[in-house]
Amino acid sequence: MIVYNRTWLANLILIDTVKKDYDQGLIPDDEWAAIRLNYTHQFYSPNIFIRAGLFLLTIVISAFSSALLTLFMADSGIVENSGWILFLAIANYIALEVIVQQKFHFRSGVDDALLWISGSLFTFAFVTITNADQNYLALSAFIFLVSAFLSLRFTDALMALVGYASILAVVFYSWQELGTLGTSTMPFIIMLFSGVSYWIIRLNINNPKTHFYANSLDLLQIASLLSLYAAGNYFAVKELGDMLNGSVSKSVPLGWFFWLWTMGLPFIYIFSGLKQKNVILLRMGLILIGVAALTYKHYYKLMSLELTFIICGTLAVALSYFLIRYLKQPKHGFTYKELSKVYLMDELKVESLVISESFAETGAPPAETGTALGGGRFGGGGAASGY
Amino acid sequence: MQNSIYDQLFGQGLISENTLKRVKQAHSTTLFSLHWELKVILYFGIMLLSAGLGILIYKNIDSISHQLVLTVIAAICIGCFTWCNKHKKPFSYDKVQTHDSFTDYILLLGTLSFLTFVGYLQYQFEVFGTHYGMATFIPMMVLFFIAYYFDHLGILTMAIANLGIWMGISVTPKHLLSNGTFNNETVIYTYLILGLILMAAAYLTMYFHIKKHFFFSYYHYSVHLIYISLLAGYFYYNYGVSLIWLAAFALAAWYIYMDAMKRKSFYFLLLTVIYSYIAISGFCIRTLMFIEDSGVLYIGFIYFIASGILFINILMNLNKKLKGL
Repeated sequence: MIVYNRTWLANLILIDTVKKDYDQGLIPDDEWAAIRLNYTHQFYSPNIFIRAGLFLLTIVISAFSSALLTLFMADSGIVENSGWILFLAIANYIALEVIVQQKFHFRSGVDDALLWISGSLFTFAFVTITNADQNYLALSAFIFLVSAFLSLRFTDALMALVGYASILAVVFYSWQELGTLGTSTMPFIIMLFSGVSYWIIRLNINNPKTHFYANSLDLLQIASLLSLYAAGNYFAVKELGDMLNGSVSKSVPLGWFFWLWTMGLPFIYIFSGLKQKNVILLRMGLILIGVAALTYKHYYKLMSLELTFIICGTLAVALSYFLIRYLKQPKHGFTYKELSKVYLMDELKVESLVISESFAETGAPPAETGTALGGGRFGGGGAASGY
Repeated sequence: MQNSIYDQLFGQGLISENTLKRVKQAHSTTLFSLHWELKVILYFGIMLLSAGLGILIYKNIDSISHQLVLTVIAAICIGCFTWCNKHKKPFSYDKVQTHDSFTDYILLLGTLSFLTFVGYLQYQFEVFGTHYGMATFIPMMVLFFIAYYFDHLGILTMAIANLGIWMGISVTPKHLLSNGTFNNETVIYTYLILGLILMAAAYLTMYFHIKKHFFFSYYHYSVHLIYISLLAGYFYYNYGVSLIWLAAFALAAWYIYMDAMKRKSFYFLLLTVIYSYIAISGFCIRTLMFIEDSGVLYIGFIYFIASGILFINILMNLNKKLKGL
């Protein structure tokens, strides 16, 4: 099923695994060199910058090739045929196979671009041929088939994510066919599906069969945890329920249960993340606390916005201050120290870019070019944006 | 899973028994690092605090006494700077390693409150009167001073952005990428001049060995600004005059390319290739537009296919070359 040379792929994964320990200084240089000599591969996989460039250029080439071909064929009338898009999809897919099999591209940008172009074109072709753009069930089932095939064959994690989203949509739309019973039990079936998915993924994470899919499984874990939470989030349940029933409700049945789910689940994630030392669970929990707070704020106005900001901000700063102090020396297997120090992205100094993006402009008093005084855009970093 | 890999490597004689033991021990006592989690919480905390403070003042600007507001902001500001001053390491012209990112973020909070303070003063009391230039110039100088004195990259980028604001333009990353405001000469020249100033700053940083790790931030902005302003200039003027801009672009690209090779920077190499592609394509399309024939569409399409393939090859070769250096 996998298009790549399995030995090379295994070697690549081994080298990546060992490199983490090498970066921490656990392996002497000469042994590291020997390992690299013994576990080689011929893949062409340049670094992220080159990959980004190749990705963009491949999209340009593919788009204009399709356009040129369409232009040539325009007079013959073939283009009006609904199969034309399918033909373009197949052409792109063949190009992808050739690049991977003959030129040994692996995450080079070229294969990424062709993968996404052919996937999208296949879907587009399905819509034009079957006119199924209103039949969401059929459409999501088709997307699932395409993305499942592509993610299995090219071990692509993002494609696997599309696969998960589309199968979730299949469950959603087919359950909806049941009518009122379907819509009222929808949250539970999505919860069940997400929970079971997560459980199956965790069971198979060390299965040798999934060895080449480690990245995909990581992303799928995130996705299933997210859908598990969203399925019971009060906002999602209420607004989606209203949308499906075409009603405007004041509250939902079993409201207490969904509030408990909204508020409690993030903490369960965090708790089990810390207990199992599982980064994915922990980070999902932290992010979802923010979501839970936003959900709460949407329905109840406890205090003014600025007071909420100041209190939450103070709490966050205080919490991190104490934890940073507390974990300076490792305790209970936790530490504040960065364990691995080598990142390619370090070249971009990402942290400073984030700071400049979120704070830089806001400090400006009205400038000469600005509107008259009283634009009110002074001070308070980030205050103006989005709230 | 991991340990079986090392057993296998040991079996093949690729690693010594010592290494095997060391690795296995390291894996059995894995520490779990909360570094990034805590940093992000801290970042959001500072963001919320500063935003909350801003809204608080904005909403109550007419009801609470100005002296009180100013005192509170000043107190926060002074508190933060005192804390940072107490916890900072001695000043040095090299990089000062702060392992304590908490202090970094407190410094950020202090700086933000300072900006709020100055903004408030100007808004309410017009201390700078109508000298708006001064109202941006002074905060900018202070930002540069803080960045150098406390060795803070984030504040340096804020200072750079404020330099732009002082000159009348905006240079945050998002703004640069999504910009549609390059439609008058003044803006184009301002961007170009700012780019050149930052380029000079980058080189002076290296030449005088003052905070050499600040080089990237200056250089990064300067390269984007120079490329974008030269391209904007090229597309702004009519065909004949624009050739001068194209020549200037070629010169800049050549220079930045040589520099990227010298520094072994894939990032600046990529930027040069992408911006050059835009420039060359722009030139070809503008030239093709002179042909008034329907066949020109074909030529245009063929151009993009051929040039795409050509640039892919260029990029792959440059990658190889840079890796081989």
